[in-house]
Amino acid sequence: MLNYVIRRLLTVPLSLVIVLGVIFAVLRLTGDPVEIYLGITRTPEQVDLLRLQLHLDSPVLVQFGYYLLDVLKGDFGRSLQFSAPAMTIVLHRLAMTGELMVTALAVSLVLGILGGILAAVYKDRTADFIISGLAVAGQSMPSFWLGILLVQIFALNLHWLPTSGTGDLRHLILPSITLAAFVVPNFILITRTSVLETMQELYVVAARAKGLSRSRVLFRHILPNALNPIVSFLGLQVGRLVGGSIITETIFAWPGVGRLLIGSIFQRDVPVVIAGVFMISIVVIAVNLLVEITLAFTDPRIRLD
Amino acid sequence: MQNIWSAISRRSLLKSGVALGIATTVPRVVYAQENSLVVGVQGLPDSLLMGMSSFSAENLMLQTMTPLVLRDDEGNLKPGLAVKWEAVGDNVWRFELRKDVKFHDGKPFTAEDVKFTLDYILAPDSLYGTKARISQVEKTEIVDNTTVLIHTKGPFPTLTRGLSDIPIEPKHYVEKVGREGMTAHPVGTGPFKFEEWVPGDRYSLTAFDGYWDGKPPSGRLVLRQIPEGSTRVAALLAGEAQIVEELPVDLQPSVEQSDNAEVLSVESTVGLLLTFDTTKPPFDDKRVRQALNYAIDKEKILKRLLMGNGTVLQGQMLTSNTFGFNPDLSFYPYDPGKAKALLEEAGHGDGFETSITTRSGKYLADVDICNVCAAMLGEVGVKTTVNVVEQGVFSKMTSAHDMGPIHMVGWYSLGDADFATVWFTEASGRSFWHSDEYEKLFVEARSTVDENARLKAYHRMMALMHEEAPSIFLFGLPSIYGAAKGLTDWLPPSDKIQRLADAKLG
Repeated sequence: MLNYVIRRLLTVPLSLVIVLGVIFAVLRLTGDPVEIYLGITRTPEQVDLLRLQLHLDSPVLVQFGYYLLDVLKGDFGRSLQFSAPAMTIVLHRLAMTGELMVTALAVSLVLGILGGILAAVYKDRTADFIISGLAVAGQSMPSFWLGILLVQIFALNLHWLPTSGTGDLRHLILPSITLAAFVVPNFILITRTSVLETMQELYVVAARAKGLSRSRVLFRHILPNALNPIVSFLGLQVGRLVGGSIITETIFAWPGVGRLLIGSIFQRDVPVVIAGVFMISIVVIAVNLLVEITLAFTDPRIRLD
Repeated sequence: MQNIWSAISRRSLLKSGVALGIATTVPRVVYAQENSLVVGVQGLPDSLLMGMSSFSAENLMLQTMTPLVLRDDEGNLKPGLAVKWEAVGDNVWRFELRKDVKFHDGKPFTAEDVKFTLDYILAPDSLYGTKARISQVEKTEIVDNTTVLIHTKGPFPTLTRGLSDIPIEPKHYVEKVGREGMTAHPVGTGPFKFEEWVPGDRYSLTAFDGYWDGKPPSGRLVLRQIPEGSTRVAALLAGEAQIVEELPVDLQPSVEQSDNAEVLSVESTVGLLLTFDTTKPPFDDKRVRQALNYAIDKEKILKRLLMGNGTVLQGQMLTSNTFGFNPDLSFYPYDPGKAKALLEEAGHGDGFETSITTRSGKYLADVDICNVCAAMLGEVGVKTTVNVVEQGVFSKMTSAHDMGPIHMVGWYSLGDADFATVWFTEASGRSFWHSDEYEKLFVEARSTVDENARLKAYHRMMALMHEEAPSIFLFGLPSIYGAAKGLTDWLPPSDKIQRLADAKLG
């Protein structure tokens, strides 16, 4: 088991360097940070000074080398736009996105697994029809539109909730529902399929034949075995939630890292973009690592591979 | 003895839980605090660093700070921390400072602070964003506590206008807390005092009792960042914000129909142009450029796409609220027949293919305007495609000085022709069109402090451009705001800097 964990951990630094390399290349290939940072009223002296500060006079590979070196020292540079440490800016925002994502993930887990089980248990009956129908509809609905619709109904018409921004817990409700809507349909459908497949297993038939109650069969025999695909799916969804958070944060004026990144990409604020993507990558990689280790614990077949 | 815990049945616990749940979700109708003014802005910078050159950053700075010279909502200059100024020679200006002005920490404002600020900005290694606005300043000389002389490297007619973008910083405070300290907690002489700063979310301020122009009636000011236009409108209609900027044109009707908010719009100083690459055929021919000016029905676009906000540029790059605007010119009328005739004359009777390069979301309805223009050009035989590029790519094309045959750009004048006309000079590196006379006039206007001589030069430059048509002159773009009904003593600013010191909620 320990071996397995160590092997998994070893892949982490490699993934991070690849992530850093790709981001760095894409940003440098598509625009000159000096142009954007200094704006149209720049003086030639300012341009030279900044070029020197950013090592823009060296070849790109050397610039990347400088960069990795700084990252190793924990220095992500200063934001070009705001002249403050890039990592500080990102960390400020990461906590806000975390708050939103954890809530959304909790909402999607509860709704997704509950919905999936109900749909599976009542397969081909009204409940299944309604839940699966909603899931498919939800999957096809642009969340951008859902967010604006929610604001219209709950903030403007009913006056129950604030339209946007941060503050007390009520500010969290609409954005987390909107963000959860990105993954709930998938959770429902995957849970449903997984539960249905497990129901076909012979040990389930045996349990039923033994005369166990329906609920006992469901909770003791079916669910633990149906959980594997759901847990691995959870790991994959964190990445999607990051993508979804960009849109959600924009609609609800939530000061998260997704919105910060988009703005920084447009401004070619390379240090902030890299610090942000780096932190998000760490979160996604960590969650997936956790998922893999959890799976290895619950399913001996995986760690014996 | 009965245990107190067993007395609480599970059911009663559930009941109280439900009650608690309802209590916390019960609607609270008023979200805004009493007497606090909430402004929904599109963007906030991620730092309160002084001197960042974006309007959103300057809008924050000028709530806490005051420059020597103030601009009003229409762009006129008026006394700020200086009560009087005059040119006392070609290269020297004398500023008389306001007396009895206090910084937020109670310390008095003096000539030392002026010199400190200008020296800091003009230091060779400074990356101060609006440095170029006062780049011709040579040195600042303190005469006495309330008088300074500003020496310039040559005649510098735009000095006072440039100074209106330079907030004066407190020397004693910055020296004590350092640049980082000033950025973390700005202290100035402005109407509002720093209270709290949450990057990406809000900037909260409180009214400054000792403001030299009287304590602002709003006890508290909150600038909230709401990036999405429809959410800004929702916040306005829900009463969460009393002013929102950059109101999307398509949502204008829903604000107009509401009973608690209204739309206010003002002409900005942005002249929106479709500029030709005049170094390459077919746009090296003046007749072709003029033809394309005749081919665009500007009034129709203004009415349909901008919902009547803003103005049609009067055949020049300057908006009518700018010093240097030439009132004798008017826009190229919509005349497809004349356009076709001119194209025929230039040997393009069968038309040609061209393209417009633009960014998306940079200016109001930018891509839509380009698309409609392309269609109108198509009607006179010029088959036009629209090439939408992202900001980074646009900047790259700019530095390569290759923008494609036509590109969309809006130039800010901030009230003075100098700032806008510079972009058609060779030295700017941004111009394709070249005229010796224009270059000469530009230098002339820049090197005198005689207002009449400057005006004459700019009028001639505008007439030249009108005739030569290096661009299709489109619109003086509007700034569109939404405001709560009952808000008084506030006007939409032409330069995106919100002046909120007098704003009162009814």
